[in-house]
Amino acid sequence: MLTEEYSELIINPLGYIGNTILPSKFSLNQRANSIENKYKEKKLIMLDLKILSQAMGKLEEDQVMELLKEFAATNPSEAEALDAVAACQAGMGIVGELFETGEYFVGDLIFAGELLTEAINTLKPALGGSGSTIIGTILLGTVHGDLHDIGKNIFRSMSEAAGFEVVDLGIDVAIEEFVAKAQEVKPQIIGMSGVLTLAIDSMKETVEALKAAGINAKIIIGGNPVTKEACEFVGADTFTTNAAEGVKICQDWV
Amino acid sequence: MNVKEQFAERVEIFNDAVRMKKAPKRVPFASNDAFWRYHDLGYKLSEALLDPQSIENAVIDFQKRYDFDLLLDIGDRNPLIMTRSLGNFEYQIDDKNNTLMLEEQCHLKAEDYDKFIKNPVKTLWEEILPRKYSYFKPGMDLPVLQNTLGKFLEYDQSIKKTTQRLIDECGVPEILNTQENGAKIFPAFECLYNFLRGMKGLSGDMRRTPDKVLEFTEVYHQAFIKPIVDNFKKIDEPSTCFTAFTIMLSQNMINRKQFEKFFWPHFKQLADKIVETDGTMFILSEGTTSHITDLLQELPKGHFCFYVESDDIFERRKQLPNLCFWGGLPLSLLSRGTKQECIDHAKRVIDEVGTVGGLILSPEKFTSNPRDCNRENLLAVSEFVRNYK
Repeated sequence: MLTEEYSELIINPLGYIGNTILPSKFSLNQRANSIENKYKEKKLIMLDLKILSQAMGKLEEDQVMELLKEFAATNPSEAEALDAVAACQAGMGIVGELFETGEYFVGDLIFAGELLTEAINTLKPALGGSGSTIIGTILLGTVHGDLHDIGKNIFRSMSEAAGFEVVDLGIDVAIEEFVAKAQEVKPQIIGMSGVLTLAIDSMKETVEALKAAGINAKIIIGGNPVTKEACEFVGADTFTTNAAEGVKICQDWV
Repeated sequence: MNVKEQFAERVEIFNDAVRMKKAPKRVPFASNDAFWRYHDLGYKLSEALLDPQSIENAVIDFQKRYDFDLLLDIGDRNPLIMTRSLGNFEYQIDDKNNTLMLEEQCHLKAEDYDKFIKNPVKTLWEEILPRKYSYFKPGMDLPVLQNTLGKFLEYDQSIKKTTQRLIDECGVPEILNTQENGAKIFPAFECLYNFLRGMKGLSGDMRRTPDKVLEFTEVYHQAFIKPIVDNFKKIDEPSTCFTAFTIMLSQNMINRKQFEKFFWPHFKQLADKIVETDGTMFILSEGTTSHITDLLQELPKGHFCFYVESDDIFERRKQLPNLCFWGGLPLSLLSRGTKQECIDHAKRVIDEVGTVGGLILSPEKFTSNPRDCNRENLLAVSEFVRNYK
């Protein structure tokens, strides 16, 4: 770690994590290695970040929580806690990769989201109310007429883990609610989810209303009935049926 | 052809389709409808679903309009009349979109596993049912109980009457042989996932307390499933479309290792019994089964029909020559395509997937929303399938 970096870490820990440790070109694993190497240099290793990332990736809940509880007991600084958050995020990157290769399924992603929340909660006292740097804002919701939220929630967890602030409107979201919230939070990305076939029409209506209101955020749609044809019909920028892929697309957009 | 002849032909073509030894006289065409029929026939969903006579009339009129060889649902899929009479209002009816939805349920708590394993029936009656049904508790008022019993009987009789009317008036057989083989089989793990713990709870349980999940499924299987399966009989003269029916939905949520550990062993027992009794079984397998292809390849040819919802049915035919498939008609085509496009696609599916049996043509997803299907397209496909030999 360079002197100026160290200063930045002290003055602006969030900015340091975001700008130096989490540059967009780094994979999450590389980020974890980077953080670990910096700590090795300073002989500050209280928590093996690589092991934490791997344990998170393997969804080894006991190991993750044991590591974090031991770490939290050492009264870590906010910057150190942010490094632990980044390591957990790197673990979520591993989860996404294992999902893409077919080793993990939806249930694993649900569990991963739960584990990440548990991990962040353990670190919260040390974080002092802050999280990692926000790389962008996503407005998210299951479109009107549809109550399904498993896919949406997985996408939310993975997006948050990747550094996005997610404003989740929930399920059965009215068109007007999407528009009003988009005007309020000015997201870079709007994500619409749905499982029922009717969701395609709801997405189309919502996209039309957003465009009519002058909202120019990128729009991604996801869920079981979503296809290339449906995406064109809806007028969204892109589509996915894979939460991990969706997060990657969003990362490329910001 | 009179109704009895129609009935006999339908039983025969279903049997030929699943046995896959010879081409059936024609490919069977099945309805995969949840609620679209109520829209198509001019009913308001919230009124129809709470009136047994409307449910019955809608099924019969729907059948008469489209002349299916089988209806997957005859009003027994979501018996709101029964569940509401016991104080369960989890299902939400959306008249605008003509849908019924249910948020994920969790009626079994993590700490209930031990109690259930020790005494499943007691735990079910004393712990789980009172959570699911708000009226069902000690001291329940007698009039409420009487009303519930009345609703249950009324609904049961209505479904029986609908079944019989389909046979007598339309020549449409039952989907499975309830007389001989009892009921639709809901495997232990599927019950745990769909009705008791939900995927959120279960995804944690499989990692935190896998042994308890295994014990639970074994106890459930022994108590509620095995007695039915053990009584499966060889049926020499089929009189239904299949001899048995089961569901496989959890494969969409759990990973391959979990599937092999928690689901497959009990399913394999059921499958072995089907083969032993030379029966045929429909497996309602929504979503994808592509990650368990090798397991499905182990199943003997001529006994099993899998619902192909999200996978490419043409690819699945190459990968699974041992299985009959249910599906093939995309809703995007049925709803937004032309009549000729629908017919051309149906012809291609029949020619490529169902040459020597092996196909029950049906919409690949269930229909519910008014825009899920176009009446003219469905009529065109129905007419085409009846005449394409």
